[in-house]
Amino acid sequence: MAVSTTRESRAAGLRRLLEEAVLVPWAGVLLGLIGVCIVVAAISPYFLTVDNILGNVALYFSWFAIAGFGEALVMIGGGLDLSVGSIMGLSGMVSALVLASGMPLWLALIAGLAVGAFAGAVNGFAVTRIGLNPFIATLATLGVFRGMAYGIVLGAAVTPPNNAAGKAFTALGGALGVVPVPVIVMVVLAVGMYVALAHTPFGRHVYALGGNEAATRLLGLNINRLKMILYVLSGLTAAVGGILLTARAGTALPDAAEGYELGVIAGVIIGGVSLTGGQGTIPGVLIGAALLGVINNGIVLAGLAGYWQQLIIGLVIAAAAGLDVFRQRLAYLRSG
Amino acid sequence: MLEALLSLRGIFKHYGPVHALDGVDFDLFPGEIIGLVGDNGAGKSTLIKVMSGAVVPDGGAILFEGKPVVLRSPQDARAIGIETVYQDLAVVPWLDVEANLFLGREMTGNRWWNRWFLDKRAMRREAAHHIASLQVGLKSVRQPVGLLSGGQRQSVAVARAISWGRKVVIMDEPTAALGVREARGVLDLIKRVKERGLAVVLISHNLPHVFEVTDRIFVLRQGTEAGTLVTGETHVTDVVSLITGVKVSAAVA
Ligand SMILES: Nc1ncnc2c1ncn2[C@@H]1O[C@H](COP(=O)(O)OP(=O)(O)OP(=O)(O)O)[C@@H](O)[C@H]1O
Ligand SMILES: [Mg+2]
Repeated sequence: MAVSTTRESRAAGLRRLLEEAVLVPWAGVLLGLIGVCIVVAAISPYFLTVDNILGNVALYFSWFAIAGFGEALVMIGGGLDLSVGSIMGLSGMVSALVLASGMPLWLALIAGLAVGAFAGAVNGFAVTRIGLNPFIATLATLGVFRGMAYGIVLGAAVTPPNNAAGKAFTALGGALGVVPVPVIVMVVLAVGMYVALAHTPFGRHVYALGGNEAATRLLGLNINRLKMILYVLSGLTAAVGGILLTARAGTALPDAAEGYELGVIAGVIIGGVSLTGGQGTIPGVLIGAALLGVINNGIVLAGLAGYWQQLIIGLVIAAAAGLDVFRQRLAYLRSG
Repeated sequence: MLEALLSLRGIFKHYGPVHALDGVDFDLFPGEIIGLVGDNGAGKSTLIKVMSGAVVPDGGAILFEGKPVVLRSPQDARAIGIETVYQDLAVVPWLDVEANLFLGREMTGNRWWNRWFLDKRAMRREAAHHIASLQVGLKSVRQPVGLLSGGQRQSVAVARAISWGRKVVIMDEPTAALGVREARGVLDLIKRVKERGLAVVLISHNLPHVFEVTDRIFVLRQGTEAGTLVTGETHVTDVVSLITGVKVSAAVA
């Protein structure tokens, strides 16, 4: 038995505290977000106005956060979905097409969501049944779904008609008072996803799947079904984001949300979702996406050229991934 | 004559040309600890996977409490009270002790409004109770398992099997890769399982450990039974010669 002196136990207590602070997956990101906010607020007094925070910053990152929730589930479960940007574009396009053919709003929304869920199911099928590596499978569908968005309209833009359904659709991209509708949707989804992940058996199974897939299988959980659900949810959240993006833009372009998967995955990683799976939280994803939004806004307010954004976000991703590695080391995982 | 709790009859399992199990008969009696020993590749893990439903045999029969059963998955085995601690440690490092103990069997609320949600408080209470009653040295059930020492982690895996197992607990090399003191903790844990009236199948390459805790020793060699010995009437060299097949022992039962 180790003899413990007061000094030893105090040092150990301090170490524990530090360890736990680093292990709270979103503590670091939150500090980063606050820091960046202070810098941007110092650059421009306009930053901290309600109009800017809600109408620009929150609206901008709402797409990334919404699609990020589903992406986070997939990644916590040890997978990856590179096709979210393409699913956003395709489902927005399908919703606009259904409206353009004179159908009511609800049918357009359901069609868009169904396309997203189906696209997710295709990813899930490729990963679980065909056994493809998630990176390869969703890299392929990234191309396929984007090609379909171009193909069904032969590369043209589709604008919702100027009828009641079309106006209701574009209202989804507008605001309720000062709060943009996509931001409201984002908050509602965040709450739902948080509860599902942190407070249901399903959530625990997702963490278990990403943390130790073999163990999860031996404990009798249906791995393939679980993965399928995760990819379908990712397709669904991407569809929600894509539909709202289209509503906001007022027209569906076949190249809408092209490259968004990078922003989505960046937000998720910055938010503390481990690249190796098994870790991450919804509050973290929200904060990660918000950090992207504030950086983007800061670059605009500072009058910097757009390419600075890519550079800065690249650095932030590298820092976040570095923190992830550091966290793994700190936890000195020796499990087999 | 006591009826066997779990009996395997003529179990075959072939992986291509490899005869992992070649007609094995095996009996486990209520409340006993049986040691399963044999060289690397003798078929030990395959045999316990047959008992735990993780491997479906190519031939042979399984009787549980005298009745034929078919175990197609670990759930089937668990449903009749057989729990397993697998060789490749089956814990999830980032989940805490409580979550690992309840993985796949989470408790949820019992009201209409919380029946879909985890009852974390009840699970923590139960987990703390199990950990305390098994005398596993853990400060808190809220520590991530990945932060525990190898022995503590193994103890969590063992504790999970014990707290859910109603009839049989199977352990595949639970003391491998553990230090002397940690192995001691796990061995004490195994003895306490027996006190609870559960039957235990223990695989180990460590013969002193096997001699310390088992009642009988079942020796596998190249997928067949080389002999079964009563631990108290056996010397280590008898077991070694059965394992290696170098010298036939007089103590074969
Ligand atoms: N899934 C599998 N596919 C192919 N061969 C297998 C498989 N599982 C086991 N085997 C083979 O069956 C034989 C018995 O393996 P098993 O794992 O049961 O041995 P063991 O006695 O547990 O060995 P160890 O002491 O090394 O754990 C070995 O030759 C092994 O290579
Ligand atoms: Mg083995």
